Amino acid sequence: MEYELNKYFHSVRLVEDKCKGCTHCIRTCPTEAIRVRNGKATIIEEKCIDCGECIRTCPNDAKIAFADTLESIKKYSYKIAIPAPSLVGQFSKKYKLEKVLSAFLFLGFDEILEVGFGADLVARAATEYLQSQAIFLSKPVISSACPAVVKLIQVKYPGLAENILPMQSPMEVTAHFIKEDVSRRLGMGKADIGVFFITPCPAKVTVVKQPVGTNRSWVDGAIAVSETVNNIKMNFNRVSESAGVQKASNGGIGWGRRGGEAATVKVPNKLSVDGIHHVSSVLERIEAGGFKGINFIEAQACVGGCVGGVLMVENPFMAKLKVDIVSEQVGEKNEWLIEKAYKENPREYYLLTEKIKPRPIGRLDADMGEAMRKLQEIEALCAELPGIDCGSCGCPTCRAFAEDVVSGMMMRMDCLFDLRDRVRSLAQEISALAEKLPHAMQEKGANQ
Amino acid sequence: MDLHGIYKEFPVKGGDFARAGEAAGKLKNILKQIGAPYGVIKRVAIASYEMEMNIVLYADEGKLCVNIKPREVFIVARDRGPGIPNTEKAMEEGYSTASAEIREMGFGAGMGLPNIKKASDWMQIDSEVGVGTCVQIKFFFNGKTDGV
Repeated sequence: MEYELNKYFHSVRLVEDKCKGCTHCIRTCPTEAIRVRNGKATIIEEKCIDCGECIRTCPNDAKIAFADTLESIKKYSYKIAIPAPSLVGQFSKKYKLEKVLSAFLFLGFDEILEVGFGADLVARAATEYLQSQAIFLSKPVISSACPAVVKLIQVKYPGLAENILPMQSPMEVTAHFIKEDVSRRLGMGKADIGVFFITPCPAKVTVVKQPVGTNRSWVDGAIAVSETVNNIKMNFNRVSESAGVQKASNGGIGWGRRGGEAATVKVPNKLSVDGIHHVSSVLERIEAGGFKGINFIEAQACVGGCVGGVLMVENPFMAKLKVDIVSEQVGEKNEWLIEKAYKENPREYYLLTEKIKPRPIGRLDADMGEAMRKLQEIEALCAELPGIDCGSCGCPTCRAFAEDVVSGMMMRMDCLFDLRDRVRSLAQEISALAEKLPHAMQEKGANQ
Repeated sequence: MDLHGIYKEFPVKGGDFARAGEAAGKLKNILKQIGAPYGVIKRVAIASYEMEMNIVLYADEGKLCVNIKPREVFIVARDRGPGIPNTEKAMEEGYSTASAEIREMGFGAGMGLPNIKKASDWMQIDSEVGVGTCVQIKFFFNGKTDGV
């Protein structure tokens, strides 16, 4: 794979040439992971959760999401596409789901399985888990399906890591299922089979490259929905509907937009939250003991759910409507198939293999005494700053600036207001000096 | 860092629901920044939120005073308000003097003070009717691990 193996892989990246050093992105980043330095935005690796919020706000298209290309599937002798449930929302009514899926055959794939199918399986497993483990769980349980939310919890709300539902994502379950199925059916080695997720967002690309909560990913690559949509449209007239290619149920397809997941997880009192900043405020409340009566929270980083992903092309609200319509049309005709597949596998098949570990970014120092000293320094500095969060220093807030100064990454004078004050007092000193005349030139009474 | 640790005061206004929870939120972030154990952060977050809400719900005005030391957190919630006639009774689960309006808003279930006690490692409550209430709680970094 053509990426550098840093400590953290990130799909969200900066195109330096396009970045004008404006401060739009630093303000919308939910983890304050961006600073403008030397006129260019820089992403702080360990803070970035790949939510794509900066891609959405950048007026200069300087933020991009790295994903695999259609070209990359050629490395495998048998290629499988697993499109996200939200994919169907990208097409108008005349593009029938069955045909959209079949179109992947023209893009070079040999087989297709919707991730909605995996979502149907995960929904069953999650329901069973929540019902059987009810008394042992930290409430409210938070869905693990959106990787940006999982990472947000890891870095910013680390104490809530134990509330995350330890369930594999529909993407992983779908990939696992189809890879083993094809390997068995066609007698192929798993290394020859390439499974590619057709992804609505960069966060998914990242977890394919660097899984969280599971030691390996069954997915071999992630290709942007936006890269496939035009290809599918161009090939659409040639596509003949291959019957039976559509295997997800209405419930699984519904996962493509907000509310779909909560609807299929059969426990009472659940919430659906969308938009990363709304998710943050809900997590804040949970940390303070709120939402105790809620059993399950579907939390999605993008407004509208996956249809709002930054690798989508259609307007998210139109896309949601389309997902609604298609999911209703599909109905429950595939239920028997899903039920059969669900029973084939043990409960462990659906569970994460590793604990989701907290990865706190807020800590000022490994030593608590030192951290407390820094905190006091930060608060003292904050009190002197203008507090208008102008962003000129390249930090998202005055508070973040103070933190950066205390940690040695910035200088006090990097604050424009501070600089202006110093220039002003310097100018006053200079003008005072200029007024001063040598004794020989002084008139009586002046310049005493 | 001196021996007195970090001292902070957060004013809280009675009836200001829009900003309710802000003080507790700021305190929580401080604890995250100094790297307090998650268990303690969670317990402090729950208790301080309840304390702040008590001021917002019942008092005219008050403040949360916080003293953080490397091994403990000490919080004092002091308010100018109606006071509690019987503090022992107020500590019982389900006992509440909340008005119909407060209950209408989903508060006043009589769990506030019991929850604060459950979350904290030490608690003291002093009150004088017509004057105000002062709730003091402590958390030890090696304190209890349940109660939330």
